[in-house]
Amino acid sequence: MEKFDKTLVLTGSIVVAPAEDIAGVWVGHCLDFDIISQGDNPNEAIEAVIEAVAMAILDDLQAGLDPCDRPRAPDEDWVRLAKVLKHGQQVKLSDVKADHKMVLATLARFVFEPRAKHDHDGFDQFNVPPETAHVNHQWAA
Amino acid sequence: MGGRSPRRLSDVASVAAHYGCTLESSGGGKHNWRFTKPGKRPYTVPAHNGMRTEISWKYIQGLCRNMDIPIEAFTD
Repeated sequence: MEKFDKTLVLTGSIVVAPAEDIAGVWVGHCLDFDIISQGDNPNEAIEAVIEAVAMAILDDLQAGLDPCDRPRAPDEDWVRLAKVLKHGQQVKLSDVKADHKMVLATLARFVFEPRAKHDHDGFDQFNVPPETAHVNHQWAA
Repeated sequence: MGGRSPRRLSDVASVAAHYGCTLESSGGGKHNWRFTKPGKRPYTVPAHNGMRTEISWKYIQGLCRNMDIPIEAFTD
């Protein structure tokens, strides 16, 4: 976790793969917070999991909790991420074409800024979506 | 439906309710629902098609880890 003044910047490693049990669905998993979402293609799954993570972090901040205390994903998921990063090819996400044997790994950033006290309580938040991903066709299973 | 199978969100919510989880509205976006449980952090739900959304086994595993639900609850 990085803290700049009162702004909070968090990063999340995301693994995206075809759902093993639902045809045409892609599952996005942010390993740092163990949050999972799904979409109809790899880019939708990434967008969905980024939205889910941002909402979870916001819930934590508004409750006075440290989002970094959320449990991380199991070791096996981190091993899978490492294999994709090691063996995968870096591509632009805009060039990704869904292939049901592939798995993607990418990184998103989440930025939260507390609102001024005279304003209502809460946080302004924006996400920095990834532009590239590592794609691997060997480690989808 | 048993085994490592997807479930409708309505089924997932029903099982989770037995373990103290409540499905709450959480505002806008695609994740306009979340599971809550006393002592646990809220867990967002990919309810893109409402209660009929098919929820993948991968998500169910994550929900179980985060909400202290035995995975067997979804395999019986």
